[in-house]
Amino acid sequence: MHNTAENDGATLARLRGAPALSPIEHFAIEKALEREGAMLAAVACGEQQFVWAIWEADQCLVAPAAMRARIENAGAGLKSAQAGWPVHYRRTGGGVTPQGPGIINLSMAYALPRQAIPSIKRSYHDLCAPIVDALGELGCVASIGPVAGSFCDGAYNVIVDRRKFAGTAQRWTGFGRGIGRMAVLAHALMLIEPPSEQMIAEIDTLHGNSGIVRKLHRDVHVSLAELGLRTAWFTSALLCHLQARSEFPCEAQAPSIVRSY
Amino acid sequence: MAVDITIPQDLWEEDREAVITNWLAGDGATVRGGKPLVEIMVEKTQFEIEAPADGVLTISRHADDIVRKGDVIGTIG
Repeated sequence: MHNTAENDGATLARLRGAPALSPIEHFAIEKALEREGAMLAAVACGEQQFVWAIWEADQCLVAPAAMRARIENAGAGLKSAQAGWPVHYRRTGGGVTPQGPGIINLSMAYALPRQAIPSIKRSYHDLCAPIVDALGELGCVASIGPVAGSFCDGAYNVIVDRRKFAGTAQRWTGFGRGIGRMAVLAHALMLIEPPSEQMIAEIDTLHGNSGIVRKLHRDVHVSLAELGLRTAWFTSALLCHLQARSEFPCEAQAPSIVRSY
Repeated sequence: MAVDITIPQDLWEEDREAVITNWLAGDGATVRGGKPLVEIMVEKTQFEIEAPADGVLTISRHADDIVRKGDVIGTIG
């Protein structure tokens, strides 16, 4: 549950008193995925160095494009859509994730210089760092690691008390195009409310109908609500950490532009 | 002379296997150098690999195959 480690009282008071302006943009999922593609393209062509968006979408399931044939050939996507959970496809890796009320997303696109071989681990840590720091500012000790039984599990979830708060995935492009760098799209899905039984059941059903043997467990996830944190406090803290990144750790030089896209 | 399509050694730092997730052109297709040709995934990170040359694609490693850095996964002739 709620970790109350070194709580910066002044910071917490400031965030709790922050105006209720929400940085969260609401998109249809198709538009959100299109926006992510535009962010990555803007970085890949050198137009931007570091762009980000915090967003939410309507209820659906989102699977990596690599799973499309398996899902559609089995008719599993149609069954999920008929149950009110249409399946959309993204171009980052990982597994099936939910979207909808109670979930917000952080998408970041940035350039990696080709001065050294890029590290997947470091890139995930760069994505998770503002989330971990924002939670820390609110008194929650978070770390990075796997959570068995969580949706779209991997080595780089943001976890609190061994439960998954945020899942992550990435897409890297640009190698070999003579632009001298990689462009990275990094995405984190964060839980505002606990995932519902139905949400977990719908992912299990999609897996089952697609011939994928995987069973999820609802209680291995943790949400802001369960941590006693309001969304506005968290997004305010997250915004501060995103905007403060005047020197992005993967860049040789500070990005010229840091802004919401 | 055929040009190998190789998983680059310097695409990522870690010593991790990858899985081929998607060929963006079919076996026998004519492809253009520098255009995205195949996608692979490592640690939930999707990578694009571009065609190294213009020509006709021959695929030797298929979707869902496990590959390592340096592996040849096809040729362009």
